[in-house]
Amino acid sequence: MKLALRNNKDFWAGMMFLWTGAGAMFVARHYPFGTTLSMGPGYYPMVLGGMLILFGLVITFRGLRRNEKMQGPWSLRALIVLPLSIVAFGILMKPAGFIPALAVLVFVSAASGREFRFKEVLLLAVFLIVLSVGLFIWGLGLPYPLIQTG
Amino acid sequence: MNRYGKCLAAVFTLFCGLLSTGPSAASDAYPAQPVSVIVAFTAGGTTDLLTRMVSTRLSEKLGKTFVVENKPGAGGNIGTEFVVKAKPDGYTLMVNSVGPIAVNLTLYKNLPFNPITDLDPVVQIADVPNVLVVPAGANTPNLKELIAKGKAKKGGLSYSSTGIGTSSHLASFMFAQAADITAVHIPYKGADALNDLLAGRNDFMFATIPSVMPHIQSGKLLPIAVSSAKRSRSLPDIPTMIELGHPGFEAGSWFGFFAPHGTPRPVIDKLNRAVNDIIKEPSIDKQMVFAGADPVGGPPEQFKSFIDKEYKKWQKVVKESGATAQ
Amino acid sequence: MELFQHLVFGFSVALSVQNLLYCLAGCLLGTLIGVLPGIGPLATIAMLTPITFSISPVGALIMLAGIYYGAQYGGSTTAILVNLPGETSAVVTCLDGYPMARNGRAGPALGIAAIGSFFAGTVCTLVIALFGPAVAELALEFGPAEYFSLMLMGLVAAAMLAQGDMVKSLAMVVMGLLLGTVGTDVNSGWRRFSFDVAELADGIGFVVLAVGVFALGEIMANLGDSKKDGVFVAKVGSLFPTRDDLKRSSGPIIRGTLIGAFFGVLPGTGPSIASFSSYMVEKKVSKDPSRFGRGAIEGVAGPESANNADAQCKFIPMLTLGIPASGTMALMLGALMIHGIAPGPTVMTQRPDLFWGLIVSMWIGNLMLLVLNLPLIGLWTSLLKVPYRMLFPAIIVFSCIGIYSVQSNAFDLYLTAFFGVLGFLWMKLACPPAPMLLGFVLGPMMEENLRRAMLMSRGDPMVFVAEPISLGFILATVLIVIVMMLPALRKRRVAITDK
Repeated sequence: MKLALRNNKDFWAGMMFLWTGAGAMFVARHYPFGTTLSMGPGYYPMVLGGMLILFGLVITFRGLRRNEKMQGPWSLRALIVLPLSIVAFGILMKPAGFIPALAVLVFVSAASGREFRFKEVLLLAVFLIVLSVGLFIWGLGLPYPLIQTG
Repeated sequence: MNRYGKCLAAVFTLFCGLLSTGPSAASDAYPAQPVSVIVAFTAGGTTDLLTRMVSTRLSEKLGKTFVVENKPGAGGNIGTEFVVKAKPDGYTLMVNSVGPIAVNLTLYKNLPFNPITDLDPVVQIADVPNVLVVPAGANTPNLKELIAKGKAKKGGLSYSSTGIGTSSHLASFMFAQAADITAVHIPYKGADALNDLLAGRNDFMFATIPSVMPHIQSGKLLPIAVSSAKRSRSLPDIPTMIELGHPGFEAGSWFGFFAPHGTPRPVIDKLNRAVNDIIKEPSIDKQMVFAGADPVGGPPEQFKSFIDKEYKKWQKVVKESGATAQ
Repeated sequence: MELFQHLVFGFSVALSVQNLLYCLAGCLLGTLIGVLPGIGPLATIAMLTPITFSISPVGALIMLAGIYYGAQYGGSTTAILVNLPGETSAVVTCLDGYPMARNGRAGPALGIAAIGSFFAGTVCTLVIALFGPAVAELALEFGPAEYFSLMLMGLVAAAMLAQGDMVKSLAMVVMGLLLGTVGTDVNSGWRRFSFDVAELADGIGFVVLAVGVFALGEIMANLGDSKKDGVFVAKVGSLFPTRDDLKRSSGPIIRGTLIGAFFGVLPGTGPSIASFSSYMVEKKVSKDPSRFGRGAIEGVAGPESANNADAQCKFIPMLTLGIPASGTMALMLGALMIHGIAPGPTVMTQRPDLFWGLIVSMWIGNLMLLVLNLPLIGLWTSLLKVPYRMLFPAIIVFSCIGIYSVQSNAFDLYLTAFFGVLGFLWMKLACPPAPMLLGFVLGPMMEENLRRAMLMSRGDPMVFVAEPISLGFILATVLIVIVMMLPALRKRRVAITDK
């Protein structure tokens, strides 16, 4: 049974649906439910959560029966570093300014890939920064400070 | 000093210059750099456009760009909270209106800031009265007929609003209370409110004049009263609710400039004077009135006492209507 | 031949050097705005406000309109090239456009998108000219009950979006419906699933969801695959659609235009419903539906025509009723107001230069965009030859700037990153994202209209079958369910005997 779970596409899909539905019903349990003819804000989420749980159960059991494997390789690095680069950009925009935030974004996102050549990334960063400043700040007039001091 | 020393001294001076924190807020130096004007609503609405108009003039008048930045969301709370937390140096300002300032404090439980104490009013730009409109084909050409219909129709009247807790909703509630009729509230998100009203599926709406001006002019909606204390300059032929027999009825919107609490007084005064001058200009005045806004102006204190009055009034109405935003 | 006179008059207005320049400027800017995700009304206003107030209202309107439908053309470009939907309505184009690009057929995809859009634009210009005000009146007949029934029908038909695995697709639709409930409930004011985060009080932005799930998820998947190092697309085939492509696309283009026009006239429908509907219809009438999702050109031709038709026809409610259907339109409305013009039925008689000049200029704009976009195809496809390790940071940069620009809010970026990871996981778990997006778009509208219809009828559920239009949609829904169940039952028997 244990070996059949790892990489079992449908099992994990089913689990995802099940727990999402359960989570939704849990969070929405205090929203006023109302009646079918006069629905409250909680009616719809509870019904949907319930449906998701049902679907989740069906798919989980199907997965246990069929055991189709997940396709394709994973890159843990991409999964972690890429979102991190985006978050960093968001954090840096106000305190550091447009250009430093972009620079960090380019470098960190490039680092999430398999092929990283420093000089190349540096050139790419310069190119993208110049292009972005020209396009967004100067061309489209977005009101972001280029570099924030103080 | 040798060349190297001079170079070093120059770099050091430059470095010190760059290190210095923001510009001083002395009033003649203000503004020494661009100013952010935060609008707590989405770009493109009439308030937003009128704000941009005024800001453009401010930029011309005071010599530095006044940049409008939209920070919409959560009924205006996101943008308001942003300005509350900003540095009170005069370089972050806000144009805000009745909802986030006078209503949300009562409407929302656990608002993490107090817009009355955390923001300093600078100047009221304009009043935006609500106009009571009915669909043209509804056979209710005046207030008396509307109230009569309300008493006669089974299930009462239904009214559109631009959202729970908006002046559109609360004014309608006040009206239903005062006229002693049953009125069911049908909330919408913003401009969607007009579709069902135009088609006659809803019976009335208190809408800000700018949002329904096109329909009044095309004849599809009939204005039967305005919610302000004085008649609106944009619709001078329409009586006020007070004139029609509901004393004390005042339920409109407005917008004005605000600054974070603690902004230096000279800055506030300078802005106040500039805006007062701008809204008296004939072209600005004309555009505002056409859009349905009545320019107001006046000193900061007048704005502050107006806001306090508004807050108390809406507090009462919100509590009575039971409206909440959980 | 009053129409002919009107059109001639319109040409005289639109063909002035000034107005032509405004049109061109609008189209160029619009294409740019469309290509970049998230950037839309804000950049438009930031850039144009000073100008809009000083130039003539006709010119301002022409330019703003150019931006508006130009964005539709631009949005499909990145959707096809790198699975990045620049505009809400371009999401559907990703489904088959991107696989076409992966197969080296980006050129034909881009070409058909432009041709289809042009056809739709031309037809809709005529529709507006001939039927504008009459159609607007008809649209007013759609109340909450009708919208609900229509969307219910659409949702049920969406089960057909299932690419093989019906159970998972349905589950994803429900997932989308649930994601759509995040935010403030219109009818009660309650904030649902916002976890006290102020930014979630207005729900999850569509751009955030689409860019995260489609573009980011795809990038993460590619980065993990060593086979995809180096150049993104090794072989770029012919740049233009083949005769076979054109033959296959003619039906979808016509159907897409009709569908788009239908939804365009209804102000209560969002921008992506038209393209989703067209996709579903094409899949249904196709002789080989399994090609969809793998690079079927019909899946690009139909939706692209539909979304351009939808965008153009949304002018009808705006000009004749004064009801804006999107942020950019609200801007146009505001610009008109500032200039002292009140849109409505009177606009046609009081400012014929505005009305007819705009209509003719819309057609000219479509022509300009076609002429602009076709030669650019070579440029765009050569972009695909850039090594992936340099291409994907560029995609990320433009996505981030675009998303941030919508509300100047870093939270939107955190959310995008989250959905990127989720999108990747969904891909691995073989959970198709398209049904989820459809549910996300339709769900909130369905709930809102359902409860609103009940409010207005004071709790009487018969309101959904009382009026003819609503009744029609309900009957159609029942019919679709029946039709769907029959072959499904038959297929299951076949599948069991096969296995």
